Amino acid sequence: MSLLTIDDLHVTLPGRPALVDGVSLTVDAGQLVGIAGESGSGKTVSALATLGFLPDGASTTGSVVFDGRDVLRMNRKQLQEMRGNDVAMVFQDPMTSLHPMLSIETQLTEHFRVHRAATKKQARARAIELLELVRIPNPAAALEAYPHRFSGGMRQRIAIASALACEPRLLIADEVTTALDVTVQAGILHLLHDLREQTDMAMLFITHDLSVMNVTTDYLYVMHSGKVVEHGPTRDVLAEPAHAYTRSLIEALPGAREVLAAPSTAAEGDRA
Amino acid sequence: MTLLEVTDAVVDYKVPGGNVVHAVAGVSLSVAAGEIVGLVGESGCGKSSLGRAIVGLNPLTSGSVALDGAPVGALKRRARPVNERGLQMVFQDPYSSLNPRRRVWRQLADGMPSGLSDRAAKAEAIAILGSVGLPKATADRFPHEFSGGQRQRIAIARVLAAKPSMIVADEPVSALDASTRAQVSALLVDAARDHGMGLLMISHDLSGLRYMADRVAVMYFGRIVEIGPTADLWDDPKHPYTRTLIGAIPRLGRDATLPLAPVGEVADPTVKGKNRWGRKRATEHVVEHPELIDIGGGRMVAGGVEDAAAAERAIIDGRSVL
Repeated sequence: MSLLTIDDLHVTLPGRPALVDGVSLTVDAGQLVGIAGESGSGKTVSALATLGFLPDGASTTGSVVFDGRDVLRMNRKQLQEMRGNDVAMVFQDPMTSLHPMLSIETQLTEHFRVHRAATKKQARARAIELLELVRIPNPAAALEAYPHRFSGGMRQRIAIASALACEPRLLIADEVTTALDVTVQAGILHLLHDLREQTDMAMLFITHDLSVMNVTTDYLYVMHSGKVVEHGPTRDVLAEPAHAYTRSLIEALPGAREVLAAPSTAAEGDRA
Repeated sequence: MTLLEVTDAVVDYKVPGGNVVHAVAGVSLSVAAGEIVGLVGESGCGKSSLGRAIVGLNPLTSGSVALDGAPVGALKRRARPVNERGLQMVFQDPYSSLNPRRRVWRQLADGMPSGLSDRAAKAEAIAILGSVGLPKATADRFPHEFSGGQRQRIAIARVLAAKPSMIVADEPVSALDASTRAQVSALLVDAARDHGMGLLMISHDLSGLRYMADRVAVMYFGRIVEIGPTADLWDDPKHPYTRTLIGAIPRLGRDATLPLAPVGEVADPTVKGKNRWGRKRATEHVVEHPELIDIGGGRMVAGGVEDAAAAERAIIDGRSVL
């Protein structure tokens, strides 16, 4: 059975076109699923619905079933138990997801103490483990520091560590590398890849960057105006897009024509 | 013929604690008329400081910038004389580079020669807006009425109104959606080619520059580490940093693999002495071998090819250290 099944989800705000207009998608345990689309396509709103976060005043139809339970019908307490524990999320800008005035220790131990009722000492040990996992040098010293001390890439690693605290079964990564330089982005992509090898965590990976999507995800959903226009195994979709919108997205990328023209051969320069 | 000539440019910033950061540590660069040069590097490498210094928004600590043989000084409180307006800049964020309270055509008219009647200036503005693909009605509107991509077109039109011979564009498309990026880049490139202008495109995205620039300069830690014709540099990068940068770009295509990840973070020029998180040894190598050596075919590599091999070893050593 799938870990997450979104079935015919509609999210609407009164007097506006639907934010999400009949989206269905599934994520299996351990699977890396991508949602691609431009700004305003509804990719983030769909992902947030998985955590039970909806815009104020929004009405929904359809269902979001995580591990057999409908998230849209959960009460506040059930949602709180799920968030950060079974399903965790990492955002684009680590400076807004990390609190600037709390130490890294406070931020990395909170989930574990809340969800696992751990002692301060146990939580600290776990925090050091997490920082090692995301390859922060000298974790004990890093725990004492505050977010501003770290570069963008390091902050994103810490934000990922905090999401991993309770070993979630599903991690939602929303544009996690968009604000980073390519070399730093490559480091984060490797980290996510390694985490997946080490755990059977599933990942819902959201980005507008199709090259990043191509090298990270197994299965891809392409969204446009609140609808899924195309889905399939990532490399098939990106090499031979069936929908005109997907094709136009790929063609807007520098060097994409070569790839589309010769779908089964390597892109020029892959040797580099 | 050389249009823009930057010689040994140095830009220093004072940081709290009395330290000085060399954001740009001695860069020489030239752009010919009708040539498109890409300047690529990661955050903090000094590319924007260099771009701003070229147009005079930052004072140079030392070194010089010359346009058509005439020196370009730093901007002061007074407006630049009309005959020095041949150098123009396009910024990353068109929200902040356009005045929200003035009509589009008025802003375009600012760059035109003085003494033009309103009627003539507006007609000229409409013609220029047309050349960047915007309808006539754009002229009477305000910047907030447009999308990001349209606003960047207006910013480009404003630059073109001054009839520049040289444009410096600092990340002109990074704030735009992927589908509009290609169009706006093409617009800048076409404008430069059609009018025989020089264009310096500053970007963090080498894959985007690859299809536009005639030559690319790679900047790292305040210095140019490699410069050469775009295709040669992309297909056969000589400097280890260029290789790292190209290797880290994720690719399309069925055979694409995870990009290569360098160990550690980009060196931070504000950290004095021992750089705790940086790619320390590679950075030291770049600092020790800053001089660009001509390796033929219009290509220059910091320290030359033999030293570049040594730098590669330094980077590999750095991996085992970190």
